[in-house]
Amino acid sequence: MKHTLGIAITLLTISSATLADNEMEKEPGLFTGKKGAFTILKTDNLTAEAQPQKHAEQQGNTSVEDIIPTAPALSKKAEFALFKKWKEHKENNTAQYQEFLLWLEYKEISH
Amino acid sequence: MKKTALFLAIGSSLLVTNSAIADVSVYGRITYNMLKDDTSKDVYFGRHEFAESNFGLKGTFDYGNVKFGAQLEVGLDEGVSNVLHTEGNSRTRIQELSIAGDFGKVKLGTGAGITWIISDVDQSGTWWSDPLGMSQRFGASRRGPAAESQTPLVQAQSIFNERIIYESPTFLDGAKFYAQMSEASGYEVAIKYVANGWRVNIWNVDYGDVDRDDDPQANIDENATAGFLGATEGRGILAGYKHSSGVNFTATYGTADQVDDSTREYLNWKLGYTKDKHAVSISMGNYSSEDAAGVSGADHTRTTLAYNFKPLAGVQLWAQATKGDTDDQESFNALVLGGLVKF
Repeated sequence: MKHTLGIAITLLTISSATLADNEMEKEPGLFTGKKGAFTILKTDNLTAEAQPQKHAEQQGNTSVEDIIPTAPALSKKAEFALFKKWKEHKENNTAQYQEFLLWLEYKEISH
Repeated sequence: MKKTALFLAIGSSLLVTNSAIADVSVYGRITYNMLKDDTSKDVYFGRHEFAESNFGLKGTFDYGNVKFGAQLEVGLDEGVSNVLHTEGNSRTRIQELSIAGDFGKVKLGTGAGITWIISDVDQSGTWWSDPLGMSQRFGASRRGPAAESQTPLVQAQSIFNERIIYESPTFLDGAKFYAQMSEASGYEVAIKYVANGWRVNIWNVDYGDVDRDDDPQANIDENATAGFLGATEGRGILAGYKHSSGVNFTATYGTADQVDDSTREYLNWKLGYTKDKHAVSISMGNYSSEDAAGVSGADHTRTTLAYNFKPLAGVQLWAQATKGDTDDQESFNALVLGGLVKF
């Protein structure tokens, strides 16, 4: 469990950068729904695509256990925030979520 | 499947990959009004002083824990059909670059001042954002009884300008600190707190050397004054609370120091009720002044009844009636019907 707090902090840090500063921009749109804007481009992992070799090296050389920081138990609030972030990745089927599926597969085989 | 495993896995993915996400979107809204006041026999069609139709383009790029952003937004007035129209009917509202991370956010470029950003909420006399700002900005229609701009509270704030802004991360479960350096040595600082139904905004503006420039709004109204709306400095506080029942109350107080060494004082309160798609409110604004010799000027008041209706997400319709008095003499009445569609 101590591992999860470190991850939660990472995820929450990313989330805090997305807070809108103009409340009127948060209003939904008639045609655009909750987001209030038409998405004309959305791309995941641009860096990985631009640097496939480096990305592959990172994937191959780094294990989950190696990079997770030591941390105390996760609070309910942080855990819930983490869950929301995970669900967002799942709904958007992001590269990170694909990585998650791959990791599950790995855990299945390694046990 | 254990949730711990889920978080661990997705988190590990974020950590081991040099993740980047680009997101580009376009947005816009159409705002239109029919205004009638007793300063003219004509009905005015179009925007209000600050209620512009607009469109924009914005994009963000996530790189690890940092998010880069860019935004371009253009505002439009009522268009070329206006027979008095002699200039272009668009203006740049926003053209800025930004970078955000766990340190907060920095924005560079042209856009809304921080005092405008933090106050651009709940101006209608309802808890909803209102493009007209009829009560709080003291705007009743585009012109006052002497054809002056009816937005004196704006003297205590800035609107759009060229600036660099620092916005802190959220602290105390809902507070943010803002600082801005503007062109011509102007600066602004502000604190915004929004949590648990409460809203408190506090701000201070120094217009720097730009206070000697022409008043941009007055240019639109063709009644130019000395300085930026005549003010050299402004400050204010907004405090509000919305109960879970929908009842809400907001009060705003601001002062401005004028170029001619006179001072102005603004006070506004608003009682509203918001329920589902409907919102009603009554609000009252007052402003008074003192000249450089300390002699008091006329007391002006505006009382506004407002009704807002949101039939669909992204659609807002309003009817607002305002009665104005100067030194207890009825001087100004206005009725506005309007609406907006956000794309």
